[in-house]
Amino acid sequence: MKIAQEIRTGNVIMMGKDPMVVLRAEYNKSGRNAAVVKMKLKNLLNNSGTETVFKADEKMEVLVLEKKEVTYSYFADPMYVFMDAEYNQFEVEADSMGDALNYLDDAMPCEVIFYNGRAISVELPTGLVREVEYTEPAVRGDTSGKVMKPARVKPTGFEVQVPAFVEIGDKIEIDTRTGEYRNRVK
Amino acid sequence: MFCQVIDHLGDIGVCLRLARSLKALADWDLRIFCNQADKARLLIDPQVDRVEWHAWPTDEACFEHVPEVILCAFGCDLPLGVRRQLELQDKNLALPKTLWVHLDYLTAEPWVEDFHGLSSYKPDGLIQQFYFPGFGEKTGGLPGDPPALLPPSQAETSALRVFAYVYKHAPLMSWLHALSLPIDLLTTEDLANDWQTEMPATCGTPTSSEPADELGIARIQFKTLAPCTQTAWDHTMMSCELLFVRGEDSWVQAMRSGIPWLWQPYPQELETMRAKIQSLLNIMSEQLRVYQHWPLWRDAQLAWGLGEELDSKGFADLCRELGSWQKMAQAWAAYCNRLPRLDQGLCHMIDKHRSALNAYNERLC
Repeated sequence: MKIAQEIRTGNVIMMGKDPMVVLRAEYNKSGRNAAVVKMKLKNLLNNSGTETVFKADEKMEVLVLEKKEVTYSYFADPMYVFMDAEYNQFEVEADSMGDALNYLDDAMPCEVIFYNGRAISVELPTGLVREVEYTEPAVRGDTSGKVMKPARVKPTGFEVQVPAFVEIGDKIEIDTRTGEYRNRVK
Repeated sequence: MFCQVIDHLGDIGVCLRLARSLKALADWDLRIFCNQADKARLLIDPQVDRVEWHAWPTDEACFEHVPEVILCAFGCDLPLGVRRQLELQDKNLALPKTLWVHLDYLTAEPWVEDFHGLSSYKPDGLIQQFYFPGFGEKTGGLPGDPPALLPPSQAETSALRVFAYVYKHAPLMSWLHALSLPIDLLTTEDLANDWQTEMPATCGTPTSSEPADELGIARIQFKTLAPCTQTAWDHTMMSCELLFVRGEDSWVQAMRSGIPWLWQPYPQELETMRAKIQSLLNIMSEQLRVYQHWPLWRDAQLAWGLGEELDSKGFADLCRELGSWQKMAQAWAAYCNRLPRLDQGLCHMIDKHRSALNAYNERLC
């Protein structure tokens, strides 16, 4: 058992008889040291989505699911196909890919998660390096790193907020849990 | 309605005020279960309150008839027996379903708009509706009700009449002493005792040989508030010229009053309190930025709310412009009193539930 505030994106919790994968979890403090967590969930049995809220100290059952290291292979609409070291292929539905689609790249290493033998989602490394395809030039004089601007990264065109000093062609590390810029990579 | 008192009577105050207005709006059979029901009864004014107060049920206790609506004030947990009863009811399709509501604290933070109204799915299959009061249109509305304002007092003295219901660590004495004027301080007995112990030399009855202005500090005359009904408490607040309030119940009544006020949120981590105060100030700024002295109130509220020792000049300047501060407080009160109300929002939700329930029962028949 875990409490709601310990639940992270990618965890699978039981809600009644339904296993639900957490697509997003947002934590906020309400009053008197109480807190609440809003979660965006997807039912692994029928793919239906829902938003729900919990007190942060509510206990919930978290399923430990089988994972397998794979690399991204190709897209066969509507399935994304991954391959393990023994050339076994696993298909994940586009609807189940979540934020992973923002970072998908040929031969990208990741983990496929299984429920009852079925591949149900993909877990990425928490940090990924991507090249900036386009961003506006920096405003002269501001090198503090506090002013942010949008940058489009290869190969998906995903947009990330980056400090003003980041330029086209730079490689940046992105936190895949939050979609936020971490640092520039030399 | 279930209410668990954490430290003082503010939680009960919110529940009593809400119950009173729900009774007025809909005249439901409304009962409050409280872990300090004896204390709660002290607040009841039999002339205006027609609410039953009950002691907190034991874990074995359950209702003879499960209520149509259960409201857990400030997200308190249900007694075990009642929770089990809800589970059994949920499993029996022939039984009507209870609307189970989690009522949260008031905050001005924007995130409540995204959380308000969401269902919470429990592992045992029960569903609870989360209800968040707030200032925005997409929240559950503002608690409290516009207070009955008193006519301007025929003051017996020229002392500034200050009401203080604050948490113990509040640096009220240093703030008040910066005012260099006589003050009648209306406060609870425990707070008065603490302050008088802390600064005996500067508290008490002014003497003719030591006028306050010559000392350069305020001469504070304590007037202790005895335990009283909520109506009498409100009356005392509304008779003052400056309100130092805390928590939720007295804060909301102060905001709705048009009397100058400063609010102290429940003590939490500094950044949590800062976020709550700053969110409130952001909304207030939208309404009050046209006023010349708004920056003084804004800065004083931030410093006071964070429990900071005084930058005395700003607060003294603000109090010197008490008339202007009152105009701002009145403008903010007018805004608050136009906002959607918590009691009406809850009524609307409960009415919708009852309509759905009636339709369900008809289908069963």
